[in-house]
Amino acid sequence: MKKSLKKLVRSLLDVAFNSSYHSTPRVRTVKGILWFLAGLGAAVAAVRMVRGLGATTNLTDLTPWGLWIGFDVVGGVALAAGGFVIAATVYIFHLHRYHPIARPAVLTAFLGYGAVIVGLIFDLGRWWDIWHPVVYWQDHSALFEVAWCVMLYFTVLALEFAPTVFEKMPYPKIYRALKAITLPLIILGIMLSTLHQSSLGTLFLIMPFRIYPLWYSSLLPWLFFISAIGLGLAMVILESLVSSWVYQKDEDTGLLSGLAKACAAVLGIYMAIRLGDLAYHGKLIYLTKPVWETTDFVIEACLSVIIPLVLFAIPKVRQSKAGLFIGSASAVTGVVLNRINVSGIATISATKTHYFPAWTEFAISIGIVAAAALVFFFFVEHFSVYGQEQETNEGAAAGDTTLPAPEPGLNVSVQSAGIRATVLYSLIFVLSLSIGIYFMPGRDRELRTTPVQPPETITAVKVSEQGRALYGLLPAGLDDAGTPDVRRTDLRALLLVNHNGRFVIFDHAAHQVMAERLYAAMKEQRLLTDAAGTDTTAFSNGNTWIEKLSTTTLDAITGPSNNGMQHAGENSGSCELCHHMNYPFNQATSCRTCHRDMYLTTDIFNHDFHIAKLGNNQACVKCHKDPNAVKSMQTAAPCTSCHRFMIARNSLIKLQAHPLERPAAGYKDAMHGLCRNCHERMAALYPKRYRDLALCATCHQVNNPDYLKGLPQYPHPEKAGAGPKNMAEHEAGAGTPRLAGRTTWFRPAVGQLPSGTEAQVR
Amino acid sequence: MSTWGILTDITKCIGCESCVAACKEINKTGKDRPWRWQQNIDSLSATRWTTIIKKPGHHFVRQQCRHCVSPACVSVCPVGALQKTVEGPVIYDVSRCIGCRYCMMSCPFGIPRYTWDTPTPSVSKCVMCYEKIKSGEIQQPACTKACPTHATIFGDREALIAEAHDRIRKDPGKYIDRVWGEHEVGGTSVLYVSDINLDFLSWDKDLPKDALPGMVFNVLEKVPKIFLGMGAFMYGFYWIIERRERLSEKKKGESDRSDLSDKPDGEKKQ
Repeated sequence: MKKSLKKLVRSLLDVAFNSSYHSTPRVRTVKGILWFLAGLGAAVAAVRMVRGLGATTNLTDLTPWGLWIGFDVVGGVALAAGGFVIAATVYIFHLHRYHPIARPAVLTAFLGYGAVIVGLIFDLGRWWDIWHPVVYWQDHSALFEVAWCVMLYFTVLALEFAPTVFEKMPYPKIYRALKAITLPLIILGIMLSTLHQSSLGTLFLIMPFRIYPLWYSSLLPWLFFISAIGLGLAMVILESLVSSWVYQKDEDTGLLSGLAKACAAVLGIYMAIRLGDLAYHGKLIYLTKPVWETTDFVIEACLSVIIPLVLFAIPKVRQSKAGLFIGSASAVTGVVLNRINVSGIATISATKTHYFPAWTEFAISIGIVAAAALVFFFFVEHFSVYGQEQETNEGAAAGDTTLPAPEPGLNVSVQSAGIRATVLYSLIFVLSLSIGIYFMPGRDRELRTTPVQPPETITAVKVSEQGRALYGLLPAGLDDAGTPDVRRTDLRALLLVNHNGRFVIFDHAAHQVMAERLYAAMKEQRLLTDAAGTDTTAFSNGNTWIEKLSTTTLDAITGPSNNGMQHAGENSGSCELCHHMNYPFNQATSCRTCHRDMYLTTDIFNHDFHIAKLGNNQACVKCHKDPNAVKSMQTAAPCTSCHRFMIARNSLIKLQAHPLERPAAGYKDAMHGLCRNCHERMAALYPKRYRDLALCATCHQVNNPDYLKGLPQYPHPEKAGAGPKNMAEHEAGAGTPRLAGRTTWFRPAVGQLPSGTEAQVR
Repeated sequence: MSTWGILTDITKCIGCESCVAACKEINKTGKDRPWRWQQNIDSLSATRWTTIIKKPGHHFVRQQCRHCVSPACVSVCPVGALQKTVEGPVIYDVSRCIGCRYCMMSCPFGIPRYTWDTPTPSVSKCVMCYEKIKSGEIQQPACTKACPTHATIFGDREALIAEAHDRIRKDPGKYIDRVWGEHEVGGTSVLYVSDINLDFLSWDKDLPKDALPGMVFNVLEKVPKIFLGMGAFMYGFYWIIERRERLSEKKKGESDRSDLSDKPDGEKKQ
């Protein structure tokens, strides 16, 4: 027992330190790059495990499968098809001249499936439950079948490859047993591969609505199976060429050109079936449509079939390394692109969304491939993957390998060189790991809000003070730990205007008093019909009731309001003036319903008051300073020459050219002046990011948004005459049709926010 | 009640979103937040299992899981995390889910949503309050109960189909003569009558009448045959070629007497 353990350790050390290949600069460079890519992938993998898929992918609810499924899983399985194709060629069809590439092909397949499983672990949301298909059987699911096949075939591949490892281990019995079951394993592997290579196509049969017609076909299982054979052959060619380039050994192009011929034939059959199927279903018409899918299809067809077919059909090209390389690389890229298309890209247009993989997704995909390549190189260097198979392994443990054992003196330098290389690779790995972590998207990536935040949102916190309810107003974003008495104010009411999550401070008590007076006046004028005072028809038509009120009544009620609650029982119907006027979306009555003049230019300048205040007849020159000029608004002194603090300090409104020389702007002009300048500036500065910012519809959401979206950008400097030049012209109806009747009600721009999203009363 | 169903009458919906609020409350889905993976905050999401789609001209369409009679999502799930109950609702068992998101890909209505923001994600969609109704906690789903105008009602699917046709017959000028969900993809438990076309609720404009899982079963039922057939085929090939090779070896051996065995011969154990 002890002896055999000692023997095992010795042979393991032997394997670890006796590389059959000398480390050349080329090998070191290639490996260094691979270690770098693997490190980058590892960094992303760590973040993906900690933070989840949302933080590391660009996947969405509508595009739930992306690069990882397309490339790592569906593409990876197809890439590893070389294993069963070569195994069938050599062991079933007895084409013995391909025997030397059987082992590398099986190794590639084994590592390919390993990579698929690792990739799947990153893609599965609940990856720790990856074993569930073993216990929960669902024979009606294609994915269940694929899961089982991949599981079994991975085991079969491990057993198929195991002799390569065991010929270097001191267990001749196991080696012989493994050799004995080669044929059953090979046949089982072919059976399993046939199933799951085609079943990967079956996966997509249930999505005829998602997948673009050029890719969807009821023959998808067949197409996947046939193209996997072609891809497997191309991959074996590519992998042989690459590893012979890395290790600078001669390649038997005769052997590879034979494979190339077969590959071209298989891919030709594949494309013929595919085009035939498209023609049969009348889908060839889609090739004439000017959409990006057509381009994608043509690129895929060229790469996967046309280029390899043309190159491999010419014997001279087929014999040359360059021809073989370009052809096989093109086929590999093309067929993998096909898998990515079917499982992701070709489904995007149906969802009307966008998806392009994040760099983190690429990093993991490439990292897995790099890691698999490193393992491949390890096996090549430490086992006889490309060498001749040994018939016996009796002397293997003693270092009697087919390759000459290093001389005792050389052994030391080889070992130290190996250690030096290990140190180098570790450094590179750690470096790329830290680079990856440094550039990882921050946490805000998860919380990126949709278009814009409202300019000033507040959170109200109820605080009691001397028996009175007070509300502290917090700027949004300040957490609970922040001081609640910042900007503390006596709350009259926080009004949730239009239930859109945005509050305004609203003096409810003052409005109530006004409403009661208004209500009394209306009763007096018999605008309300029945005794209960609830003629809802008067209200249902918007603001007709206010139009019925005579001007004198309005003047009478807009006297000085006495603050405080005077909620007389007889006038309690006044609540209805503002409430119970539900619009769709349960909107409260908009302010504008009563304050209709807020969109007009105001005339707050009370001339009579100024005359009386400044001394009657002698007052004129105090404002109209030039006695010769016509006494008009334009020639008068600006208001701010006397009233220096008309604008509150720290106001959001930044006065630019003419500080309040004229009567104050109306609500509309004030709002436009406040928001529009900046919107237009930003839209001009960043036309891509703020594409729609200068459109009317960005702020005004009428019930027909298409109408406003169709409006030209305001003020439209380039296309003079095409549309309304300014708002006045637009109001007058120039260029574009106006909305008929009173069908618009304005909803503030934060319609994207749901009830209680940002502002909240606690 | 044989199979449960929900009938939504688009002409009656006022878009108040009481159903949404009730759903959020009973399922404790939490607040909606603007995420990158969501087009609009008021569209379906992991925190919003039903929503109101606003269409021009005061039309409000409630979107929710359709609870297909033959659900694609259930048929594709490799571990049976999604199950079709005998009562009709399609329910989800997170403890079985492996997070492959195949259900999301296969749904013809694009309903299932995912909690992308967490490292322990799960699929979320309307389950018609199945557990709570079964346990007797509530009599009908929270959404239908909350509806102030009875625009969305709960009941027996067959009875609801009859009711839907009744409404269309009584007021043919108001409705489009079609009950959405009666036949599409083999029928759905959630039905709609409407005065506008509701085809936008699915990926494809015209869904087939046949259930989707059939498209896959046709192929899957051939799997055992192909599996065994391929095995027999491969062994047959091997046997024929092997025999032919052995015979020619023998012939050669008879003439040459000295014979170096070929490798596969050595490997083969018989």
